[in-house]
Amino acid sequence: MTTQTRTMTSPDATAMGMDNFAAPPSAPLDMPQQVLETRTQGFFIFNMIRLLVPRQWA
Amino acid sequence: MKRLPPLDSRTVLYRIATLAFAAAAATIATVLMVDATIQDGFDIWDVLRGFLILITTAWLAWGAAQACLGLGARRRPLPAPDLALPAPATVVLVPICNEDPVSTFARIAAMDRSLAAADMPADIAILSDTRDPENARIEEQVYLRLLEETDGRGRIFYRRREDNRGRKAGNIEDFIRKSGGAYELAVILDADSLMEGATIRRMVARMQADTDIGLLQTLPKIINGNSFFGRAMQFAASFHSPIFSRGLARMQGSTGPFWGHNAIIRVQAFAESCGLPELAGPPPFGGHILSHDYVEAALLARNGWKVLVDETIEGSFEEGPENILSYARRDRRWCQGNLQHSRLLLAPGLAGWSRFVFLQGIFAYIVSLIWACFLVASVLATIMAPLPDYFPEAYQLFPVFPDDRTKEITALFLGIVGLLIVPKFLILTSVVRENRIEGFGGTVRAAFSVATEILLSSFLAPLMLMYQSRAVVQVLLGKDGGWPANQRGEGKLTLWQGIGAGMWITGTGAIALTVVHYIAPDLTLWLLPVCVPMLLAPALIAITSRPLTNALFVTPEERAPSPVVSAYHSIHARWQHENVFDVAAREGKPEHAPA
Repeated sequence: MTTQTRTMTSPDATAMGMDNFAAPPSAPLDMPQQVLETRTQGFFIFNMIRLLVPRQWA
Repeated sequence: MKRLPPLDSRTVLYRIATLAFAAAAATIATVLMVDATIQDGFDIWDVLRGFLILITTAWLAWGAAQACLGLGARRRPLPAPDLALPAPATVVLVPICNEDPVSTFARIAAMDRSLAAADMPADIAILSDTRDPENARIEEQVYLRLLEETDGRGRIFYRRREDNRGRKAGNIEDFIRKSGGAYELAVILDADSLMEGATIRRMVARMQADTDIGLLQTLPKIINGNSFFGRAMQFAASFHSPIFSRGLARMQGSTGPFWGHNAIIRVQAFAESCGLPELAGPPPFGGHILSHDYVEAALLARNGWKVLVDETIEGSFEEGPENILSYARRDRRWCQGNLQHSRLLLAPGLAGWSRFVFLQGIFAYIVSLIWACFLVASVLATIMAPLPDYFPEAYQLFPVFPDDRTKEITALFLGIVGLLIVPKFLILTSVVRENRIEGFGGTVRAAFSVATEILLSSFLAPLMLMYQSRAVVQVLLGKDGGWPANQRGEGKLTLWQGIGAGMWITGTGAIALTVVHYIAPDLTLWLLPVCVPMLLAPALIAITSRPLTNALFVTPEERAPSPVVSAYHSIHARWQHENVFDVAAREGKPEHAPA
């Protein structure tokens, strides 16, 4: 891809909007959202923080 | 799912030794403290002070042990394979947000030149989160100037997000979602980062040779420091940090750190591991994850990817804050981000060490508050101490004087100071032994620089304690500091600015000293090292923001600037003296040129 883009010729910026003129190549990649808090753990930590900082969640 | 290889025995040994040293030092300090404070009888203040000194000493000893761990040179050199052709598709990502476009894009021009010189094919993507339309318009113009400078059409990209959800982490994620499939590796930089092309080539080769590495972090050296404060930080980053980082690398093994920039990632690994969710609830504990880099490192390790730090990789640079206020502003954001990690301590599947790193990050900030509590508790305990009873027995002929414990307290004080200072002088001997001292101006000048840096950090420590304590309290009270734009290039501060920013510290110091002087005069002397810098806060803020002398804090990077740094200065100087808009117009974007 790097080699391809190096040799690729781009049209003039005036001929198209900046977004198309300068945009990186389109090659979507899935990026699944990670699980960082399970429901139980979230509930536990949530309440611990609420105990510590009651105004936080007021 | 991949799994990290089991810990090697050496890493386990290093961890145990470091923890044992911290525990031993903390225990000794606590015993000395309790022994001294129970002379007038055992009460709740003794328990409290013992507990607080246990935590604070453990923290200091932990840092000292880390430095000591890094003192020994590596017996086996780290792998430095050659790049096998064809090179993996690589992109250099430069996320920016309301930065000075001329400086930022001049750095990119310099890096592009360096990449070509190193025969390292790589695209560069500038990922703008700039919200201000006027600034965005200038960015576009300077981008066109960059293309003209580098002939970079088709390999240097620029895109601006309309919705800057997730801040920097969201910016990178947006790129990976839309364009990540085109690249195998990505070098993540900050707007003020600079990297030699040869350095990027070396990192790519390392990732190519070991396909289990998900992230390789370099140790960026701070450059372009001008003020006394900035140059002191620059010196410390160049002189002390490699040793600290070597200790860190030894202790962390394959679950190393990510500092958010000047690192290379395996795009597929990052994509499958590091999609960050928003945390439930409002900021500061909920919402976007602010200190995303620590979390991304932990998530890569969770998915079995190695996260390594290599402090031996040269040619990696960044700029640092030039004054205490810039430093404190950045620290406020880091403080909130690290405290937010309390939500993630129990995140499923994380390596134990990753949880420990979160805990360590939280402690880095709350320890200031603990020191402040210790000082307050010591004053209160003295005020509330019962009067000595010289005649505890009825019909006693001679008085009984309480045992003098000044020696114990002095030993404790010296021990704590030793934990702060001794590692820095050990690092000096290590640098001499490794024949690196000439880069720092020779042994005498380096020794003066080390001593001055220790003196400066001692003077600034009470100010940092106050700023960090305030930040922790603000976060605990639910105040969101947001993500203020970086004030790069922010330099000299006037005394008035110093007074505006530091008067609350002076006031606090004056009240504390007055109260102690009248109520517990014996403690006045002990509190002077803390209170005098507090009284001088405005002057310290203003003076350290100025260039004082270049005779001290010499670094190898300053004496012999790296080619990419020189190229940056030359391009930046040239661009500043030309009308970038005219050049940009020639590149074919006349509708954006100013009237």
